[in-house]
Amino acid sequence: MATTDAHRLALQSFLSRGVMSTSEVKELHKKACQTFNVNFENTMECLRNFLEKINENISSVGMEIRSKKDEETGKLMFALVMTNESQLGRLSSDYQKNDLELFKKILDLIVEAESGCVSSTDVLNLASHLKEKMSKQDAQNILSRLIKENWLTESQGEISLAPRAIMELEHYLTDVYEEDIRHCHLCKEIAIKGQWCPCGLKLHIFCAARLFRGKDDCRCPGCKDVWEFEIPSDDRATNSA
Amino acid sequence: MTQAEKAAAKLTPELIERKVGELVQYLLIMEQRKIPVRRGDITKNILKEYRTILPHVLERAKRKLKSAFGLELVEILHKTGKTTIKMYILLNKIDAEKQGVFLDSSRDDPKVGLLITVLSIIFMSGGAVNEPVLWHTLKKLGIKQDEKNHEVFGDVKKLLTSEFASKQMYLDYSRIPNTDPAAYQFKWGIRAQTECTKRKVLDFVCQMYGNDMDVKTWKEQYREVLQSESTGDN
Amino acid sequence: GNERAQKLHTDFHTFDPKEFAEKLVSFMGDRRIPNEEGERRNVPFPKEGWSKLGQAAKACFRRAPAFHFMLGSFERGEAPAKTRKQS
Ligand SMILES: [Zn+2]
Ligand SMILES: [Zn+2]
Repeated sequence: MATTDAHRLALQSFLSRGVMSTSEVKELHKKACQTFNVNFENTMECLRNFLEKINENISSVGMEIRSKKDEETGKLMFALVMTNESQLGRLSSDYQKNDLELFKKILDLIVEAESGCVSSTDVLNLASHLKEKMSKQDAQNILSRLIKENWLTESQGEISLAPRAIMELEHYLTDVYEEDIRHCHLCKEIAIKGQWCPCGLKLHIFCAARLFRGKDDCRCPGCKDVWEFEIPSDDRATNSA
Repeated sequence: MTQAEKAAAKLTPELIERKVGELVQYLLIMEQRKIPVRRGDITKNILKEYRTILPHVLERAKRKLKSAFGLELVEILHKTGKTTIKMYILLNKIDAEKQGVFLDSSRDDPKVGLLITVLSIIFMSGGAVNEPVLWHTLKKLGIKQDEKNHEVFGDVKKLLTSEFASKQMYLDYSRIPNTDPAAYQFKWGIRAQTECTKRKVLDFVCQMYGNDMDVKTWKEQYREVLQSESTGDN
Repeated sequence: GNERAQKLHTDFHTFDPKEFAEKLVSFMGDRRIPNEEGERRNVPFPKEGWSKLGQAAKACFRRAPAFHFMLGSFERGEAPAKTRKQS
């Protein structure tokens, strides 16, 4: 399949939006093909080939469209990510140096927390630990931007890593934090936010829902202790992709 | 073979491929601030000791940007006094209508709104507008010259004269010859001349005047449009 | 025909920046809040007005989307202090 304007428009859309849900990507794929009358089938296979072609074109530019399940909803997300940690990255001007220092400290906190979540007050308190002091107000502005631009998520005041950040920084996280980065017992993917057992075993919320579906006596697959976490109903996870 | 191609032949294909990829990535990163990239910066940041293959790598990068991204790498000439500097910008090959809702421009929309206002006033005023006249007009839009933290634009004078003019080169902010005390004027910068067409701007102005005003209503401006289209520049 | 040219001739418009500004004000949705004295003086326009104008001007430009990312935009720095309790 040759590269068409549909591929180019889709890539530009990923450049400008960064991350999208499966339904948004499907809509983009359909509309792009229709706009430039490229043949289109409403199948995952056609979508995969479409994205694969784009990835072929951009791999030498250090970019890739990756997909991964949202840790909260289990829904498959797609993001255009930087694939290499080169000097060129320092030339990015989206965030100031001190903003990135704050982001790094937020990463430390999130990885350190077993649940993978930290309170927004804990995040704002980081402002005073930075080498270059940052006001609480500035920290709040940066935090809101990081959430708005899909690097972090906030639900009920709890801050965690968003799918876009996990997709782009996965290798960085395992490199820097080594065994502090856990993987989900069921799906084996990296697990930042999730349920965990004192024995060290960790499960994504939606994976726990699947693993313990219909069971009334939930036990840790690793150490057989009682699984203390409340198991969410599984319907939320099944309609994921 | 040109000197560049001789140098290129000596280098491994892998290295050239890597330099092309790095240049494309570099241009897309610098596009964050829309500042034209100097030829010298490309050598400094990307090619370093392989400077001789710059023409070859530039050509390959241009092809990659077109085939993979639908973007056009355009060389512009920035004349300062005696010297002329070669710079590069990225222009979209996919036109606005086809982009539809898929390109999220919400981050830049307000600034683009102010930019088109100034570009329109300049074009409709015959290609240049004196600074006082511009500020007087912007006042009606709630923008004051000494405004340091405008709710949407912050320091507006800095936005116009530094970001839009000296950095992005959409505008040209220059001193009016032999004025004492010095008086300044705004004109279209090299980037606007390359990226924008007079016809589209005249269409925009007519849209603002409403009840589908015909572009021909503006006699001189419309002649400018036809003239620019006949000489091939836009 | 002739009347077309004739009509053109009489309808020329000379550009007045202030008039243009008024057209922009109405396009951007003049819901500026009147100040205490009640008249609508030149209070700054809310962001939405300028965004609307920027959207309308999209066709005048050929703006390319930039690449936004986090990986590599910051130094790794020293490894985080091993303060974790040994789980
Ligand atoms: Zn899992
Ligand atoms: Zn256990």
